Amino acid sequence: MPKEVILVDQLFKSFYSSKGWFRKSLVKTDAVKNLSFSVCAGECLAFIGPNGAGKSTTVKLLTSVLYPTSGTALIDGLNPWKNRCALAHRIGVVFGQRSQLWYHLPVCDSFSLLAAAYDIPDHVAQKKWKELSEMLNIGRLWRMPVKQLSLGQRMRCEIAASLLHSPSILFLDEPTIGLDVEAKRILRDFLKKEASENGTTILLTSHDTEDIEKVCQRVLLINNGTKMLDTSVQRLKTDFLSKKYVRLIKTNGDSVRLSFDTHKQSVQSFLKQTDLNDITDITIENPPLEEIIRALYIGGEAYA
Amino acid sequence: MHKYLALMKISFITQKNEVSVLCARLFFLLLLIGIFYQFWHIVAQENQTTNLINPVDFIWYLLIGGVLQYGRGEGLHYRIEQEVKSGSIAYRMLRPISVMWAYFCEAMGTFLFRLPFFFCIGAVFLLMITGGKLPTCILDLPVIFILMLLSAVFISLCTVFIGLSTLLMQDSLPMFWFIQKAEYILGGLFFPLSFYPEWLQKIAFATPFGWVNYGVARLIYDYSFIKAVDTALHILFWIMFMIAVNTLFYRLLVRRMAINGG
Repeated sequence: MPKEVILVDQLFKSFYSSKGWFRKSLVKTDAVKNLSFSVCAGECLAFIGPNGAGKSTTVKLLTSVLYPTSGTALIDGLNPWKNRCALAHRIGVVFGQRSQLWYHLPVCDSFSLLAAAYDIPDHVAQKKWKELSEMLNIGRLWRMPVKQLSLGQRMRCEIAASLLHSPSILFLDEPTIGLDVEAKRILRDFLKKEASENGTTILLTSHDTEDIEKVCQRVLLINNGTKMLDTSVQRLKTDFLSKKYVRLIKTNGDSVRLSFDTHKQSVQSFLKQTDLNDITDITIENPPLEEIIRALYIGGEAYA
Repeated sequence: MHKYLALMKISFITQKNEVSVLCARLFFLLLLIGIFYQFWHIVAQENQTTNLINPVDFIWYLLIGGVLQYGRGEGLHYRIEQEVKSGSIAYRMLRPISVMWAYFCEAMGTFLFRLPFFFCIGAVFLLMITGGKLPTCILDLPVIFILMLLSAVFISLCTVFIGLSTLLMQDSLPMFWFIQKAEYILGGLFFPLSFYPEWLQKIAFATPFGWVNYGVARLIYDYSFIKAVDTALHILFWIMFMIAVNTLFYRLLVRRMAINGG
């Protein structure tokens, strides 16, 4: 049985804010409530949930950015809050909305600084950079200042930077946010390859169901800081992503929104029964995550 | 140690890309010295008391104080403030490196480039406007230069402290203004402290600025080994003091970040 590299047990995190002008009272907000789960080495876990569900807070707790109110966690055998420095050598972290690169420096300088920070010898860092730049197609960005990179280019550099010290666990908090289709594809392919070839454990949070489908084997869904579901991606797809929304745009500019369930009706039969005359454009969408969560609340009946 | 030297080296190297900033700073430094040189000439001719310092010594005194002022990196305290406010600093802490010392090395790298650069160009300018006249204690310049480097260490720590003061005041600007004005007045940036009333001199020497700025610059016209050692010991004391204060602030910052997040 593979070794469990992430072990979380009854994790709580509460934030306090003061309220009132004269008599200040503390208002408590529970961001993470009694969260327990484990991840095996080499596994790719998608951490999903609506905005404010507690995904990013959990990632921050597990990467030692935040201290928990109570509970325990072991990341590759280390307590993240007591062994911060040792943990930094074993994990790679990418926050989609934050940068770990030096904004005003060229990519090469950011990488040499990171190599020095992680005590990586120059020749090892160069070799690793070559590998990563080939896989992520970022070789030509080497001398470009970080501030001149596009979002997609920057994100690829961020992921390369987080893997420079060859961590065994990679935490990614919304890595594909704001990226175009091609940039997302490159990232997903790379992450999949990284997990399968190097055995890197990946914990990924995302609002994009394709990230989950393409990269992860397992899904952990949280809402209001509580674990709602812990299942395989296969199971989630068959149980909850069968509903499709189809938007048809007619030549006169009108749009029609239809839905069908792939469990109950095949795509062919749906298209046959739909009037496709005078159609100029067609969009097929998965249901939003919020809808899946709502469905989970009512026992999946909305999707039944 | 290697990681901090790498940070300092990068900060040093990137200075060569900031030609416009270097030129602007150098221009104002030389302009200030030129104006004060003319001013001092007139004052020295009309007032006997100013015979204590001749105009050549005086502008070399100004050059040393000016290089310590203009040699520091601009905006680092503001960047620290922004990182504290936005919480980005919490993400920097994910690296196996002390953020406090990383900021210090960045500031020091800038100083190490600008200090000799500004000093050399400034010295050539002074020789030009004085017709090649040298200050009284020119042979003691190597010792003075070493003391200037010690002052640069203190000033870099001070810059980090200004940035970290955001924790207390939500803004680094009040602390920046306070320290800058204190440096101007108590550091004797425009006039040597020996011109000040005695009570103000006592106050100045009870603060780091009397030693870091005036203490070093005065050696160009009033050098003695005892005075140089005394200044070095006082600067070292204030460096230790600043390290202790910054460490305290940094620990407070780490604690707050760990509780409230980035």
